[in-house]
Amino acid sequence: MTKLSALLKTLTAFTLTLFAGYILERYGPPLPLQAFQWPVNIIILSLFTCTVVGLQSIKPVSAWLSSSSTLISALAMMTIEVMVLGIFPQTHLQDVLRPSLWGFHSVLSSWPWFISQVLLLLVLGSHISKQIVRKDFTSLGVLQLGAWIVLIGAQLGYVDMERCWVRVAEGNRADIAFDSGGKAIDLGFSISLQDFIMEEYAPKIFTVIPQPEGQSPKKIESQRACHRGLTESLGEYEIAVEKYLPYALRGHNDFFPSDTGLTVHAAFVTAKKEGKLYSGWLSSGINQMKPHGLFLEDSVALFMDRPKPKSYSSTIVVKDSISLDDTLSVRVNKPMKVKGWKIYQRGFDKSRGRWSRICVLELVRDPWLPFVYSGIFMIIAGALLFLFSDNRKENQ
Amino acid sequence: MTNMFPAYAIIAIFLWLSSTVLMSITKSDKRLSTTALIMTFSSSILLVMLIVHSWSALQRPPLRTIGETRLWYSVFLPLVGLATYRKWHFSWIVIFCNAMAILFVVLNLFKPENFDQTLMPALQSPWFVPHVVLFMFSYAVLGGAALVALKTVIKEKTGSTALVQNTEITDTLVKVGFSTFTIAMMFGALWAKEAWGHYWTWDPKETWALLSWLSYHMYILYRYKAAHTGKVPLILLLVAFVSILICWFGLHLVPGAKGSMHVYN
Repeated sequence: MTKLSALLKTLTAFTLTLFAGYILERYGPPLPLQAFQWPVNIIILSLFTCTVVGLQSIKPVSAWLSSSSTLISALAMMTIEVMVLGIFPQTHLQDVLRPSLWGFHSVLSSWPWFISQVLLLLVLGSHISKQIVRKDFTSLGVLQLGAWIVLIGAQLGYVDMERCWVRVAEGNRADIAFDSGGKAIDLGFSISLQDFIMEEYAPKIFTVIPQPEGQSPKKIESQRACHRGLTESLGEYEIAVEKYLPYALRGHNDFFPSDTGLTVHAAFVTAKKEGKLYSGWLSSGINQMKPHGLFLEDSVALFMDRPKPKSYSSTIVVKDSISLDDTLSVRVNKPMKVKGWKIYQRGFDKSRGRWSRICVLELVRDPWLPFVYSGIFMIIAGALLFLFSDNRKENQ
Repeated sequence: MTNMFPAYAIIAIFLWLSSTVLMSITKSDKRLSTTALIMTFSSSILLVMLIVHSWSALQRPPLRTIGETRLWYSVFLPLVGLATYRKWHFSWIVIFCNAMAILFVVLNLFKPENFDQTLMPALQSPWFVPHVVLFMFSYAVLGGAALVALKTVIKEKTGSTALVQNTEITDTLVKVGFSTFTIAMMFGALWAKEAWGHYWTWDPKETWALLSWLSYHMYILYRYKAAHTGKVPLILLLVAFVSILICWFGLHLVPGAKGSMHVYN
């Protein structure tokens, strides 16, 4: 049998298996994902690993399972499923158990996905076992072993992972968090928000030019952020910023700098066109205060954009009934670890922007993380080894 | 990017075009081919200078917008052409890479972007630069492999010496591209854990990156282990590169990709 015909036969067999998965998805019971919780998942991992290694002793089976044709076919099945995942909009795993008839919109909780994963793990595991048994471990083998660990660890460990959210107002305390299903989770410690701090980028100025009926107005944004002395051409107007106040309150007809209150960004600008001069204040506004614009001729108007966040962080105090009493600063990309939970800065009260007195924190606990991380670092090591490997040696 | 981009772009395009013309007419004239190679190399250096200038002016790495990533691609792709020429001495590789780089720079000229210094908090991470730069480098290398595959599929006959030789070129380019792509993807997973709480959220960008990774993995197995030759692996390469293009800037075409956190703006 030529290599190509062996590959085609295996591809056909695996495709038919995947098709059977779609029939099962359509007419069979839902995949019992929650059954894979601890300790069932660790038992499955142990049994599966023993099965993969044990199959090496059955020569015809191990020869077929560990062949490259079988591995290519198994990868092809996963590729088909990932393509479905990439093309069709997906509903969240925990939203609805059976939201779509054939599993196209809930791939990760579907029978075809489950079958493609079992096939791939079995075949990839056999492929790796063969290399280890023959003491012929290539750099690609290191990468594949890492991928096997990540694949099995991430999927078996997914149901053990806990993710919940807590919304805390300044001066208040929370010791219960809620997961995406609304279930309350007792953290074992309380979180109080001491302070929420946000830095913003200076906003940009833009002009809105009405268009003929049926067309949306045209928006022309300034190239640079607002600052005193900025001059730019926006449409037919020469704009100049004479004053810029990053923290301003609205007066009777103007804005003035202030250290307190719900301040906004404000700028005093002039707009010149063909000898005519317009001037006035612009402000970014927040939900409690509308933005202030400058109306020019022909219904053209000048506005200031909402400022974008530069950084934000929450200073929290975590306490429990025993000895825990810490003050932590949680910011984006810098989560903090407390009693097995990792706390992430996730959100704030957008209606108040930098004056938010509420922070939204996400707490994540993932007991399988070290196992998955070992796979990730093995993949990186394998990739580096593969990069510097000899093509001829890898081809053997 | 900065206001200086059109000036840099026009000079780079002139250098690439001149290099392309010289590579087309040179047969064995070493001086002509060396001049062409120096021109190609100089255009990449010029764009590196633009990147450095942009980085300083924007006060952030110029890696956030689609135009900025196209710029990095235009730096790396001609260098891939030069490296491939150095090993195999095929002038058409340099020509193809120059042509693709010109295309991407022209796209940037027709779609100028606003000067924008903002960098959202999620992108302010030490992972940002290595993750994106490695991806752009791998895209360039795999783009080079796709160009070689395209030329071979169209022009060469099955079983010919040229096909065998060109497949060796694609093997090497895919090895380099796949390795760096893999490392970039893993850097993304480690960063995602720190930023979003989970190393893999099946964000559409991640899904299409995995799709690309699986495709190139299949090519490697098909070529290395199963030792298949002919045009089939090269066609697989072309399909795999399409998935990279969708992953890079074609997600908006895919219905399942709305709401991706990896949005260029």
